[in-house]
Amino acid sequence: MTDLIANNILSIITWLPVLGAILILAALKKDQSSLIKKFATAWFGLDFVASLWLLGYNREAGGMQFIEDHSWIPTIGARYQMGADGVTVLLILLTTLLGIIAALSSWNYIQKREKEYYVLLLLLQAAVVGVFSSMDLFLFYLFFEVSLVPMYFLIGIWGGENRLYAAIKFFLYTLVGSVVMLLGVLKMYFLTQDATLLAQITPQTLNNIAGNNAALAVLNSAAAAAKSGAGTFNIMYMQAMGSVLPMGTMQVLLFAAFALGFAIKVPMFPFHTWLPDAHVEAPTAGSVILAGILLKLGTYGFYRFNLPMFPGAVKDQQFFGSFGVRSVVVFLAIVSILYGALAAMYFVVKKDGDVKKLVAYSSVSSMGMVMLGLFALNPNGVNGGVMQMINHGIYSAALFLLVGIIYERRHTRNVAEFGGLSHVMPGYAAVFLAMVMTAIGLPLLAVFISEFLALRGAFESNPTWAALAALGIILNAGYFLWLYQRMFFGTIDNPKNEKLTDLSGREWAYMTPLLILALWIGVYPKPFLAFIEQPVNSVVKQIKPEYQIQGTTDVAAQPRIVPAAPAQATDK
Amino acid sequence: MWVPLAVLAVLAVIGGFVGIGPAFRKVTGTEHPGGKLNIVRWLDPIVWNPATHEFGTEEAEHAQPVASHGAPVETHSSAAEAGHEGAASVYGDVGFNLAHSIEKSAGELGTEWLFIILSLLVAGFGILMGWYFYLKEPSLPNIWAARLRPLYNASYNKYWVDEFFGLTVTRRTMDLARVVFSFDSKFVDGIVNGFATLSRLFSRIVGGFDKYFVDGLVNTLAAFVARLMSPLFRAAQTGFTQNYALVMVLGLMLAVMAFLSSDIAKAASDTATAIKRAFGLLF
Repeated sequence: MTDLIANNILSIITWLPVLGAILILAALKKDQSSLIKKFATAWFGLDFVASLWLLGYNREAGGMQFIEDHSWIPTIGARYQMGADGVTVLLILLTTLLGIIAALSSWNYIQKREKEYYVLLLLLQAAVVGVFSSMDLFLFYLFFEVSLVPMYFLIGIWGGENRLYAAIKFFLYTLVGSVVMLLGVLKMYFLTQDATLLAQITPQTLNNIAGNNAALAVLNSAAAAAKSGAGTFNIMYMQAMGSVLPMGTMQVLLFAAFALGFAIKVPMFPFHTWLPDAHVEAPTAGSVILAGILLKLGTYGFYRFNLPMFPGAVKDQQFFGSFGVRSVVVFLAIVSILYGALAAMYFVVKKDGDVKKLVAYSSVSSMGMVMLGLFALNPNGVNGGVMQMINHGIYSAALFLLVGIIYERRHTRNVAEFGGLSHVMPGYAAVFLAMVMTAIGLPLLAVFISEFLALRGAFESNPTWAALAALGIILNAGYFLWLYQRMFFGTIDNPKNEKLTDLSGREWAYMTPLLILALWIGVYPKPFLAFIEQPVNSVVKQIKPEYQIQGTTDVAAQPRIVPAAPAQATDK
Repeated sequence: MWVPLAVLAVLAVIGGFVGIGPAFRKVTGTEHPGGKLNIVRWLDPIVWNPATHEFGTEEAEHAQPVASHGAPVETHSSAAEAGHEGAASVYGDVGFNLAHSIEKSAGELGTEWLFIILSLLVAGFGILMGWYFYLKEPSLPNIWAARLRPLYNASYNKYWVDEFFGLTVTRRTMDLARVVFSFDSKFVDGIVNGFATLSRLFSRIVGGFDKYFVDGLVNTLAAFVARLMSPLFRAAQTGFTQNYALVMVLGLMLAVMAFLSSDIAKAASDTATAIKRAFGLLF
């Protein structure tokens, strides 16, 4: 039994929500509203408990673990391959945790079509976990596309007034990106059939990417498939191929194809305008999943595909003459940081701004920081970028939940309607303050660690980048503190606010884990960084083979692999 | 009202110990006492040092023998031993740094003591003045305020720093926020919605083309054929059973002929050959 779970843990976490959705559809009736809610929430809890298994990730070894490998579509070489590295483990845990929270936060908020709502939430979770745990590009793409569908309905059915516009915009915009990405996926697949590329891959590259013996075995079998001319969709093999892909127009085009799909998802300036609309119209839980998880699909894509697959393009700074691919991405990242912060500020500058839109634009800024960290291309930067993904998932989810809580009570999100809330809702005001402080990046709270690391990494690459990006933090602090002042301090001017009730037990229940995490990562982030350290090192090494990486202070922590002579890579 | 101040005062004292440095080495025994709790060290476990390719600072590097890391580190241990210059060179020399330039002339310890004494002097002077003006001689502040009216006003208004920043930075940032948002909603989102409008327009054009041109062509052709053939078809509908029967039989014959055409043709050609042969025999 334990073996059965251990060998299929990623599939279990992925497909468990689907099973739950089927059970709800089959066994529960439409009017059993309370039972549906409780069952769905409990089922999310079950999935979370299952995902805790991933904490057993071997942090010293690194690389892909919990590997599953089954034949799927032999004619095109696509296999059902799942695997998780440390980054994936953290993202999956965040996903399953936010799943419970999203379900719990919807109990009162969702009043119509409850059965379909919880079914779609479960399906969304399955798709997202599938994206994170796919080790086969074809499988990844499938989950990536499928994840759009439940979100489309969540916005389109349970959204605000302008929900159809927002839902269609969200769907079409992301679809455009992923269709362009499909071209890149196909080209990569055809490149895997090229035996001359395979012959150039060094065993060091294979060892670096695999990280451990089980992953190396899968990688070797993928290389064998590539050698036979059948081609493979194995992500690790494509990464290995990236190390020998000649830098030139083709690599830049491939980078651009993948980058467009992911940049829209992140979203980076200037592809971000679907985000505020989708957030404003989505129901609270939809915003939580959207900001907490779906945006990470974009940055995760950059981390998993663009960085290791196209190392030539990623570090390129002169392809277009005076600038290169990396310069473009970093420029857009810095613009996103400043631009997102300024656009968010507009909603406090304006007398009657929408709080949800403010948080949405601040996400653009925050995700820009992730991109800057990733493209710093050094351990500090990439560590910071990855941690910022997790931290943004925590604080933006919390802020959307808090906005949802006040919206449930007052049916407005207009800043001008509030003022002096700390007098009637002290608990709410305290939680809101904690989360605002986290968002600003106050030391001893989660975001400080990730922003500090990302900026430090950027500084090591180019001090100017860090200086410009740091301005964004000041702007963040400016509008968040101002927002807080206008909503919570002063006297209660609006009589409608006098009778507001403080957080209920259920609301405390789903805010507390986020508070604990924000504080924990802020005070003692080492356990979290330990998960991502080896995977991040291997990515940096893939991009800069000359970069000296010792692993941790302990040299024994280096991925030590029995040189299982990947013969097919070196003969010829 | 004094309670919050007292709490802050206690915390300030604790905060001082959090950052206690090498200046008190003789008392504390180490450079940065408190290990990871010391503010100099608390991020060490997570910050990657590009000079040593390790987590942590150079001092942490020295604490562990470099040799245990094997050959690759050898090239870098020299950079680590070079100390601050080595670490600074990784980032390049970024402009003027006051602390560093003082450090160059006064040494590390001297710099620390210089700043400790300087800040103590400034704080002590402030406390002394406050005590003298507001506790010892409470009449003095008014006299001095009257005597140094412009200076007093400037100080009372915090040298108008707030107003200055409000005018030059805060207001301008707010303006910028307005500009950015209107750019975002009008231009950037305008492009996105423009693409949507364009696709709709294009689909309307294609739809119209399909409806009026392609389908129109098909309909015109159909109408033309109908018009051409209708007199013939109308004439055929006589209403007499015999006519229909005749057509039916004719049709049947045609069908049979078509069905057996190859046999008929073969029979005909055979017949022709036979006749030719017959004529050949005769003449």
